[in-house]
Amino acid sequence: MEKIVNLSRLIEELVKEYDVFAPVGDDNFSQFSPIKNLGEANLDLINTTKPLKNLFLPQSEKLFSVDGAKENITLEPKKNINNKRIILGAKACEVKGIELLTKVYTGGTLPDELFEERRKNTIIIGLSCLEPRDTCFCAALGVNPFEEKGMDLVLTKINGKFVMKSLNQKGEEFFKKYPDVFSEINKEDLEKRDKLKESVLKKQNLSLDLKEIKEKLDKEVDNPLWEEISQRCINCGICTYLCPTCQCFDIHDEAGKGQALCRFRTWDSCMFPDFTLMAGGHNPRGKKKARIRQRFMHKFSYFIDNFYEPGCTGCGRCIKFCPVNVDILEILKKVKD
Amino acid sequence: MDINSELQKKVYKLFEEGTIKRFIGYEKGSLPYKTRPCIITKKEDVNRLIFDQFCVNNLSIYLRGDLEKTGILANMCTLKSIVALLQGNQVKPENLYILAVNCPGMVDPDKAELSSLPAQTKLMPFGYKNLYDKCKACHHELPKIYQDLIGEEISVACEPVDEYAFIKDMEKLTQDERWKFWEKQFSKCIRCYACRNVCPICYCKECMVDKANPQWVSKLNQSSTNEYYNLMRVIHVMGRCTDCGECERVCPVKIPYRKLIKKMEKEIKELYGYVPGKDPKELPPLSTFKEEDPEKGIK
Repeated sequence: MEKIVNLSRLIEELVKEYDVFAPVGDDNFSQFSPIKNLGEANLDLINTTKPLKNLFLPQSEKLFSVDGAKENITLEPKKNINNKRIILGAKACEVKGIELLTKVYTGGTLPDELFEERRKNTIIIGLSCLEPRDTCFCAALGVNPFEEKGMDLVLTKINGKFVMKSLNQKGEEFFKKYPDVFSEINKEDLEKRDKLKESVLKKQNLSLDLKEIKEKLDKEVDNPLWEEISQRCINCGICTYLCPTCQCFDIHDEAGKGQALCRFRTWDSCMFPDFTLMAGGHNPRGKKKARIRQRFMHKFSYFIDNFYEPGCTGCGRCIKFCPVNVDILEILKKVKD
Repeated sequence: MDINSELQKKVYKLFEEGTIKRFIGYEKGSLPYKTRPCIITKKEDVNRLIFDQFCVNNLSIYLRGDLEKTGILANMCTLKSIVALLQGNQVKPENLYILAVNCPGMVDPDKAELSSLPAQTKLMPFGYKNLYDKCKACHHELPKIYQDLIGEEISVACEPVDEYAFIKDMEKLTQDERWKFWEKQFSKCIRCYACRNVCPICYCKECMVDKANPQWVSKLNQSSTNEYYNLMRVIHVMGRCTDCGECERVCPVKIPYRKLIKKMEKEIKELYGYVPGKDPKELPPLSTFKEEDPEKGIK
């Protein structure tokens, strides 16, 4: 079903029942944050600075705590992670990122409870992307700005109005539950949307073909390209920390004075030298070249081994924010040739 | 002769004469408004080298470690940082060949209309308003530590702006208001350490945040440790930082580090009459002790 939605009123209704998250901020800095009304959200942003990943895999989170100060040692697991929540305004590449993370965190025999619960409690209202950036290349990853996969509902902005379309049963229920905020859509608006879609899809960057990328990468382990990139790479964590699919974490036990001992997990980056540092002092990826290569191999070789598709959504954040212009698109093209 | 041919010819000659074994410069990046650092080791590669108004990276960070005879293209900010590296004995002057460039100031792609950028940019096609703030306040007085110089002398169209003007608003705030401001800024931090890794002055062999056994700073992303990391880093470069602005430029969450850095620079200037990045023979005031040092602030 699809209808014109009064978004402002819909959000007023939704916040009564759900935690509603939407892109908040400006061109300088933005992220998905809780909102109380439409005015707080910025649905015109091309992409938020921080990816949607943060809402499913927070940078640091407590796993459990052990309190030895009490008479008996108590082990307290983290409970009640989330209320029911709605993510509004996520672009196709963001949702693809969550799809890929879901494979990693719930695909195996031991699903991650924290991630699973968050995913289960979340309804995603997507937003068609109307303006791909010059760093975007989602087409190469099987995503497009109007992709609807992984969303429950999707919004498209046409002439200042929002069209809302349901994509599954969960989405359908919205139309029944909040009938007052929807109005019928006319043929003209639908035609406008189709035209808009056509023009946006034309702007897509189609220059990269990832066919057989894994086979090619596997052969290029000793390519001098890696050495060349590593010369300028500064080994910061921007590319991995802003990536919507990078999922590595480290476990830490910490306790303040007189406080319970807490076990945390917190993001870690394969770009950092201590990521692979062993207790005995050995470091299998001690050289920058090996770390740079790892990022590409993980996304475009090992991820394909494990999940039959690349671990990248083409959002282009790593290209946009890299301080020394390490451009994943350029490098993959070089490897292809 | 355009600046790129001048640059390439000079570097070619340096390789041919055996003056250098490596050269650190810039090459065209993957997007019209991006350039990137490149390190070449063969004279045949000199045609990769370019210089335009997007050559913003501070190349002095690539001077770390034991160097073979190395040449470096130094814009204003790189040059000032090399002064600081020489002061700290981080680079051996005998292994260094500095090719300075009259730096016209760098264009901030966030300010320029990206869509209208020409694919092949030429020097100075951009108005003053598109420059990075640090460049608008630049006095264009290159420290005289270079071996050679390229590019036309810069005639500054506008007077440099007051470099401390933008921190005056901060100074008017109360301590509480300032703390609230920075709390909010540091809450955005993702601890990617790009500010540290891109900083020429952050040359500690092991950074306090990487100290794991015993752990000095918690790895958790939480307000207290984010504040601790950021403030410690900024204080640690105080008096040596030459305001190349790289920390602010690379920060993906746009923490306005220069507001802190310029404030500290101003304090050092007022207390000790010292401005970093001018003379390699001078020593930074916080690395030395003089009897006549002011004691303001010591309780």
